[in-house]
Amino acid sequence: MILIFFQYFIREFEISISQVTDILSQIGFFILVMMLFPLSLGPDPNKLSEYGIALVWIAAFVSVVPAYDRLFTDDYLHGFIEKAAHNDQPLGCYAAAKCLCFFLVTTIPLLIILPVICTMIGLNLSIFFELAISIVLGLFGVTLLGGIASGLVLGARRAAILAAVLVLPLSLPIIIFGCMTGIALIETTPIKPYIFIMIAMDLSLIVLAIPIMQLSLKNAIENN
Amino acid sequence: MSSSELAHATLSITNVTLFRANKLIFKNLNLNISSGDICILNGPNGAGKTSLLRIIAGYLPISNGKMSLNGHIFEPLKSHLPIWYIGHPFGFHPNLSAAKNLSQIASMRKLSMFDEDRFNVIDFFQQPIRTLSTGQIQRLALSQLLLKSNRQKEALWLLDEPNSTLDSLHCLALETLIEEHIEFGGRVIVAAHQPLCEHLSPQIIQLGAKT
Repeated sequence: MILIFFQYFIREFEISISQVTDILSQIGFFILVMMLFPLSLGPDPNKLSEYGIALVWIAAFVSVVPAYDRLFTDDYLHGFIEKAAHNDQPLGCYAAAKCLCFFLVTTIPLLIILPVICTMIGLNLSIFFELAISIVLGLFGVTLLGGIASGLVLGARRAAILAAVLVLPLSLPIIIFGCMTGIALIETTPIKPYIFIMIAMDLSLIVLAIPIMQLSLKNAIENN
Repeated sequence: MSSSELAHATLSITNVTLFRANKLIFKNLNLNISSGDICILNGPNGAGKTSLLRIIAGYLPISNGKMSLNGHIFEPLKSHLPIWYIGHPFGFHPNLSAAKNLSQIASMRKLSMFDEDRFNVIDFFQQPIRTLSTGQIQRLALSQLLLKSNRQKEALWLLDEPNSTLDSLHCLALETLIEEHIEFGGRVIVAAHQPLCEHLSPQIIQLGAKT
């Protein structure tokens, strides 16, 4: 099972590399959204750093969420999910590999650009490491939620907006605790409780999301 | 079921009825296919040829009737009988090369690459799928049947319009391939508009006939 997981993962990675413009446009979108805040809130660094963490979170979300409907759609339309269903290994293995790869190719570029963004909105770079951890944990959970949404909307009309509408309310706890981590960072209070809660949410999502994705993919094949 | 039993098992489809979007497509369909049999599905567009193949492949649920393999209930996605559904969509990603797509499928099925390139896919092996013509993609899809394994002899091939976009040379290669598969005790079900393998005197199932 681990072998086939890696095979799926490598396939996904190769596909992502061949569609590098998707990743670049997502990062471009993130930077542009972040640039709007200094323009709209005014260039006062105190004000910006006060709202900064929440703004980074919202921008990261808004740039990632529209991509979720694509998670399984391509493979569904090209018939790959059917092929994977004929494999001995469960479809959940495929879905997990897909989500992991998607998480890595969306989050790593975001982390690379994050120090620049932090400087732009006047956040102290000393908190960058902790902020990055909270964003990684948050986006991991959101990717799993996105996987569920993407599986459920397969074959539906206007799937992109439907997936986003499904993901956003479900990801509220992640946003809340993510932003609380950030606020605790600025106020220099302990952030560990929030980080632990986010880890707990991610772990429980792994357990929940994989069977749900497996079921929804199976259902999608039958309706094709 | 042991592999020797499997090799001689008969796949029976009894009284299968299919509705799609509340419309009756076919009713009480029966089909038996054992080792060395070939069956051709005939009928106009929309008669349910592809749907029947997709039912046997396990992609579509049956609302009525049953499928069995030597008396045991046949669940295509869990069965030990290797099933190859070759029909649109083929499962290839347009941005990956032909070679990568094929080797992905081979490794998913734990098979190794073929030796004989009967459909001449080596010519475009390194090209991404999006740059290939329909006929070339069809040839690549049929090449999946050439992937090697010691347990593919009894495999059930479900071919949906395999020859509709092939040139005459590759049509001939396909016919030879099917003939060999049947000789080795395989099973083939083909949905086709163009005549195929008529010299093998296949069972013919007429779908969509007005009764």
